[in-house]
Amino acid sequence: MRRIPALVMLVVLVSAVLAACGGGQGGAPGGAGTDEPIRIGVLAPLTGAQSTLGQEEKRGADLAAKMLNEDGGVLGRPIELVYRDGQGSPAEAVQIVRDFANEDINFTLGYVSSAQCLAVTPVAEQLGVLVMSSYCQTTKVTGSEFTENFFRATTSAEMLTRAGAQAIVQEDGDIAEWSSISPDYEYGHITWTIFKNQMELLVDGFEVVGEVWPPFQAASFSDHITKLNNSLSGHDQAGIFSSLYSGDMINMLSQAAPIGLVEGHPFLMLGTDLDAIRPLGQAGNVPTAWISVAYYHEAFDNPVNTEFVKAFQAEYGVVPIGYNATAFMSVTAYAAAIEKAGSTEVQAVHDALEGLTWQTPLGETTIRAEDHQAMFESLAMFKIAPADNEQGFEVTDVITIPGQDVSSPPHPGEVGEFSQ
Amino acid sequence: MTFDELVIVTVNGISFGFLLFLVAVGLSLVFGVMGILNLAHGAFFMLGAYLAYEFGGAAALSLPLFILVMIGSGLVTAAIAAVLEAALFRRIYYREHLEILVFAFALIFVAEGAVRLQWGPNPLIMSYPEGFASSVSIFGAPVPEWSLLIIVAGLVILAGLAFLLFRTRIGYVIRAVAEDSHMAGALGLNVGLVFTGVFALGALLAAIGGSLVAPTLALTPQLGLLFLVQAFAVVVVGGLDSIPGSLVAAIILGLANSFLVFTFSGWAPYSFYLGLIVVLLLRPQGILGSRELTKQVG
Repeated sequence: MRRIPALVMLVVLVSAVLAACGGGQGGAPGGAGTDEPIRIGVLAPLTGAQSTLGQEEKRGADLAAKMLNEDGGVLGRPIELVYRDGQGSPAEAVQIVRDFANEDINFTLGYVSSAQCLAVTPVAEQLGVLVMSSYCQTTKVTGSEFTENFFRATTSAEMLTRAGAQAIVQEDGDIAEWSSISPDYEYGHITWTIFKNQMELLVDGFEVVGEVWPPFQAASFSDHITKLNNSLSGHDQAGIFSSLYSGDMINMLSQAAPIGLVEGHPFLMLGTDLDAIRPLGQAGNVPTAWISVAYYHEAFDNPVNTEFVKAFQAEYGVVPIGYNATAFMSVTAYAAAIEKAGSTEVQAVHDALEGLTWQTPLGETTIRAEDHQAMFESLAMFKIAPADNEQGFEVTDVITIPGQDVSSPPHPGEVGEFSQ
Repeated sequence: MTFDELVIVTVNGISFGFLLFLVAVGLSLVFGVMGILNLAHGAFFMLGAYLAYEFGGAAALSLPLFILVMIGSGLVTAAIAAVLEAALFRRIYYREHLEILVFAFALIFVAEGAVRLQWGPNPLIMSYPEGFASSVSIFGAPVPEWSLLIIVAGLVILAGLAFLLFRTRIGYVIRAVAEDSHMAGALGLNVGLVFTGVFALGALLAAIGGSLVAPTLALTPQLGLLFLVQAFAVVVVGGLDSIPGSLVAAIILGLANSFLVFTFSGWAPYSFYLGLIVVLLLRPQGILGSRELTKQVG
């Protein structure tokens, strides 16, 4: 008898956790009626280590659905987003895609990690579900591991890395010596490879003076910082490249600040966004750096962006960042494709997505028919510096890099030249 | 490896070791007295960091103020821990280890949810206290002042703990209960109160560890899980019921991790697991421990 109350308590606690952390519930399976909502499954890390990103993704997607619905919906039907909490594990993502298929939800978006994207695409094809990545960057899904049902409404690692390299050379001059502190997994290694390949084309005498590979979500970066700092001694003008992001970038920069690791060095941060810079600003540890995330709210002068920024500020009280914009674009891509197809039939929407051109906050955007990669008119790069203001930093420079300068021709089924 | 590197890697390793000790010592205390492996300990570490942010804010504080904030955070965390002990943990001390592990693990997720509701999912970070945001030169190597301060804090807390356990009446009572809780109870000692007090003391130490990392690690609702594996490795390697063992293991593992980054860097992320495997195979009771996990108090 003694065991029962504690067991009940455990069950209650576990249920409370699941209720608190779990994603939204799916609605009833959609009927064929014309005013039934069009349901889009969103797989995002709403809890767990990458929840900052997932919550930002949710804000962007929710806003897109709200704006579309206020505007009369798509084919006269409202958009309904069905959230599932995918914390990053590939196996979990595969299960969620199966659940979506079982519930007759055939349009999905989100997907944060490259491992998730690579795991779900073959399954999605079998199940007849479309996968639209709003965040994962791996070049494999549009290259060597290309599958028919995968689409990417955001940038690829190649675009972001090459744009960052071009921006820093264009603005800060021909920096020949470079070092890297990037995460020790596929994303970290592939971005550094692409960066080196791009730099060799841009700068004569390009040379690597040091590279360190801290593990993903390390508790202490001190030793990697020391190691990098030592390899930079005697190379006062050498640049530092880093594709650490979110919490890892905050931790590295906070731990590097006392020894002044990045001070005086040209510094390129890849994939880090204002979510990481804001807390660093509060603590007075923002470095001078170029940031490559493709989107900056002031960089794009087009009606969609103006409306997006205004609506976002009205809804959430802050300006949107890149994570918000890419989720927003993924939802509007489906909406545009469904309008174009005139139907919600999966094959028709798939065909409409191939070669789809629609207006996004980044301007006119086209999904290439050959490899399903979105192509942008331009990508935004911005520079931050410490400042004596309330935020602790300011954006000192915003430039755009033409989209055509940062992407290779389509190569479905093959490894791209910049990724080798 | 150059001499400069040797110096800074040693300081890094020891500093990280002391931090791990602060997190792990509570685990070891609780195991020594109550015989349970409380994985929810990571939640107290996280709570300590968030409370320090709540009390101190993001801007730089003077060192005395930071210390006050740290103590405040420790006391509030200890009070919460005492309530949890009396309301929940007390009911599970005599269960199987597996049940206790599952229970404590679930509590971590409850804590994660609670922290998310209170402070949101976005990362937060504190400033280094005034005068501790730069580095000092030791034999020509730049060593962050904060790393040195963590070592000093660790030594002070170690001395305080040793004094409490071996030089005060409270310490005698705690040790008596750890030795044989039934006999201690039969002799009229308030065993329940000792359990609550030890549990709260462990949480206080974890919260101080959490406050000390708040300027160097982003506070996120997952912070409770970040150090858990390392802290677990420390207590197993050191001996589950041995506080000196935790200190020795924390410093050995901290140093091993730092030196591996400079020598065989690919192995560094596995240093704690390697330590765990070696000790479990060769000396299951740990470097200085006397009890294995399979044997339970009660």
